[in-house]
Amino acid sequence: MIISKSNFAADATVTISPESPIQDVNVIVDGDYSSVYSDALATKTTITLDFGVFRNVQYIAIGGSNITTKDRIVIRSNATDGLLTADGERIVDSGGNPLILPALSTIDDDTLGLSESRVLMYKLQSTEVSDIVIEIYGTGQLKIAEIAVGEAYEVPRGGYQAGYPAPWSVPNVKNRSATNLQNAPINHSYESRSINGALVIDNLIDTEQAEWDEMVTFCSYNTFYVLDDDDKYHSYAAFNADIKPLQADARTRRLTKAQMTYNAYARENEVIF
Amino acid sequence: MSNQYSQQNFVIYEIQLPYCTVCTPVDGLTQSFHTPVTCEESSDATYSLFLTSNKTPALVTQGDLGFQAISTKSQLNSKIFKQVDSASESTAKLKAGEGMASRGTLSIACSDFDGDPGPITFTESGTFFGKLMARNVLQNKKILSHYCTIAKNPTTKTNELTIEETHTHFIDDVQLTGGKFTLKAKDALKDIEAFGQKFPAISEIELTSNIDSSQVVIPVNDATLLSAGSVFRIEEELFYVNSKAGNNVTVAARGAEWSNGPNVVYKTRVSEHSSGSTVQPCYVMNNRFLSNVFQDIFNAVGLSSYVDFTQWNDEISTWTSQAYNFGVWSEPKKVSEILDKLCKQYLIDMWLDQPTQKVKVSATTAWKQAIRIFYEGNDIQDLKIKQDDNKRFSRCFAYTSKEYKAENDDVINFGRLISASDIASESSDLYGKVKEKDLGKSDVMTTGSTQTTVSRYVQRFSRAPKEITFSIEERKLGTTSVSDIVDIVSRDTQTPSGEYLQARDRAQILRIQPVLNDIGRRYTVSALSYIPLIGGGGVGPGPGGELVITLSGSLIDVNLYSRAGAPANAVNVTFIFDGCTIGSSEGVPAVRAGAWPVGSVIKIICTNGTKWSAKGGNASTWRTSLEIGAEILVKPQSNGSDSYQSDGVETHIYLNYGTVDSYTTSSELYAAGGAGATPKLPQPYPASPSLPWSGGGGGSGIPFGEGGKFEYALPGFPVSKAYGNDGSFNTGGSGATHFSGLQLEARGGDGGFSVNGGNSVSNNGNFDEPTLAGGAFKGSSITVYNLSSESSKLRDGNSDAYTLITA
Repeated sequence: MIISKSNFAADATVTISPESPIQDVNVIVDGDYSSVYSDALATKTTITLDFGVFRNVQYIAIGGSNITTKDRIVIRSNATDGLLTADGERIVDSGGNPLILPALSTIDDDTLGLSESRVLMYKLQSTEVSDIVIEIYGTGQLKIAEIAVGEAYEVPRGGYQAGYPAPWSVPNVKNRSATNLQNAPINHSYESRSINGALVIDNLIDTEQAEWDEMVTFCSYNTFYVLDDDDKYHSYAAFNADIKPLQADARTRRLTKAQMTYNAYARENEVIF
Repeated sequence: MSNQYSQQNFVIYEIQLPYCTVCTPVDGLTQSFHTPVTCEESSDATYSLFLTSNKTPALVTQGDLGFQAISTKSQLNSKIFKQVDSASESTAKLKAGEGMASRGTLSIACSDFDGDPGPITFTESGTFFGKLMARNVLQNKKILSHYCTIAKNPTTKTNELTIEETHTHFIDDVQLTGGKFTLKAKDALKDIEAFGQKFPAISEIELTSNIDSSQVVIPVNDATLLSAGSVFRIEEELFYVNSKAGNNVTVAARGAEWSNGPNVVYKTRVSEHSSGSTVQPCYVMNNRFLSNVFQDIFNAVGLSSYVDFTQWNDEISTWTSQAYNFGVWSEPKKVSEILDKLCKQYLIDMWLDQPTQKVKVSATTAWKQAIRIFYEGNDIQDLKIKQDDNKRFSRCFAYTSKEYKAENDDVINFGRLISASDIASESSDLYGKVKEKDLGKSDVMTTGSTQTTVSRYVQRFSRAPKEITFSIEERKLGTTSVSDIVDIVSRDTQTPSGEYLQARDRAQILRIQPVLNDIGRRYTVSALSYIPLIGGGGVGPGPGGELVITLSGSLIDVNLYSRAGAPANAVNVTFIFDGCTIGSSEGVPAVRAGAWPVGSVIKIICTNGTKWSAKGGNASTWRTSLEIGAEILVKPQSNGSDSYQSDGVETHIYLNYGTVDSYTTSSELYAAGGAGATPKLPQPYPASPSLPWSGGGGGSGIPFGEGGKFEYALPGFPVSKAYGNDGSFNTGGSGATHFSGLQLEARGGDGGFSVNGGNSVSNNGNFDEPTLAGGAFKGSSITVYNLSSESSKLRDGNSDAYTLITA
């Protein structure tokens, strides 16, 4: 499990090609899900985030978008000088599969095609690039609320604790049905909701506290992203973080228990466009 | 409304604000924010801010709804701010016979945040709503509520987003306190109240010199608004404009009245007026239909865009074809009060229809049919039914016939009190209590319209209405809207034999209130029940049984259609004339059927010694004078009026026919008699007042015909008179007789008792022919039931053909 602890996209120069004549492209990096960049997708749209300097990119997250319903996404970098290619190190996912091949400067993911919107998050090996280029292929209307790239906090020992709720596993809707005199439903209404998430680490060791602190500081001020495992769809955007104070272990009296709660947005069940 | 089983509902709020394409910052600002408050320039465009709650799907965009915040490239075009914490909309509620509906209001509460409302310049510091209020004046700006639904298209089988309705309000008040932004708004009709607009508009015209009580050239400071044919008022005198030259207005003879048939537009009293007196242009109604009056008012106060004249005219015409108005409004009054009064007196509900942004009207009548059935459980939930005796009225009355329009509204200035009652509901077997409703005073309604109104009120409210409330899901609401008539089937409404889910309450929808702070969208509906006068079967009263209307006391010029509340569908209706004395005005039938829908059947049962006739014929009255050398007709003769005019409607009249429908028949029906002729004086005129003259007798009738009068004057002599006698209900008046010595010189003709008047006897022939008796029965399809043993109680005069059943 990784949790984002920085977001370079907020400071990046964004270009989109072709570009909407009425939309401001910067809304995709403002951290605000109220603003959704929307434009027609005619075969291919290219989004470029130029950081101006080399950045240590460990994750790429796309939230509030319908890219999951499109045909294919390609992520690459034009500025590969920073990539450690001498020893063949590549940007790969946690399974070791190459995501960005330095030689080709591209990754290619065509395992999309969902009928719903999901937060899309890729874990990268630590590497430095000065830009990220995202190409989306498909047709119809393209919508993107947020793109985030940056460093990630690797949760010790996988992160799963007993009782960990995986927010990406449930539709983010609430339901209500009125019933007739026989208590049978006569309609079905639903609305969007946020899902509660919680993370508890019982045995945080001293050397991990600094990273934890860096992560929760970022989470306290920003929307952050969590990727549970290797599946790009097992991810969610989190907000309203409530960071609990580190707690001492009853026996060792060391500050080993860390926990935080938050709201999460993972997916919209039905994508209408 | 989508009727799909599964729905996602949400509301997008759109605040429309003025935008300055070019902006020179006002003093104190260094940046151009492109709003009128911050720029020296005026606005030349608009931009929109979109707000919603966090229940709205993240992927819904402005483009999906067909919107664009601003016509230039801007981050605003990507934003639907999810800052609405709560919202409520109070929709218009009909008052069911009590005037205009309540105004609709909207309220939303938002959390402030570190954002920027633009529209062009965005800054890092400050908060969204703080900057919004600093850059704009929000009051009276438009806020739209777009009611959205996502549901599966039954054809394409894919989810689709639709805007079900858009409601429009105008911001009334905004506050930003403790990081909470609250906005309150009212619907468009607030303008009627908010600005206190008056109708007719307050005048600034003045008299420029004193005028006496006969002067017809009226000097004013500005005659622009005083066109020929218009009416204006100075103090309590009304003036009719014939022409104008510059600022001198020539008016009709002072004190002249303006009438149209039996209806008076105005009468006025003359007086002197001083220079500087206000000259107030008036609004004149001369046979002006109610829908036109409404339109005139709306146009006059700048609300013409809300007029739906076709709907108004159709609804009011269907309700009653008699809604023509006669009169003059000479005193500026608040438009809201005028509309409220008109609505109340005509039993019209008026409200602003949000989706169309048009003002709609609906007649409060028990004759309307239900358009659909709501079943408890399947369609509606949380059903509550409460019987409200406070809304029950067994009697209703209204004042009308105010002729001197510029006088005040004291009762003494109104000539007629029109009433209707449901006596049966007052019996101890039912409610055991009289409850009276005062519909107030109308200075413009005709007698017929007033009659219809009071009758309908009693029909609608004589049985204690039930206040019905329920909640309904949006998909179940369908196209049902405010003022619709629906039937409600519930567990708690049962037939007398105890069958539930079969009996139903018929009710008019008074309000459909959205519930916005719950999952999905449902509505709280208020309705008011009534006893329907027509069942679902079409022809004939029901389901409550025969429609019976009892009339008692003195009646004059009765229109049965009005008395029945002007039903829109063919009906069978029974009128009980209970001990009535029934007469008419001159030239008008005592009772007429009226404009019933084809297929209607009228039954009239006369009981308790009802006396029925019509206005007896008047003999003529003359005056002669040697000075002018000619006879002057002071009052013309008239024929007897008719007792009943069927207007082609099938009618069964039971006069004396034993017991009919449990009523014991008992009555006398005598056609009105004609008047006798008045004889002519000898020529040349006699020099002595002893020469013959005499008047004819009046015909029988209710009221009886008046005897003729003949007055003869010589210089230096008192006026000599010879009056014919008045008739009575069952006699014609005898003519006056003059003898010169023992010789009969002249005798006026006798008035007829249900027959034509008699000729005069004179040396010089008749001045005029005797007049004709009225007919007891006029028109087709009339059957009269009167036993042969009671034949003396029916005298039919000059009736049309009718069927008489005597056994």
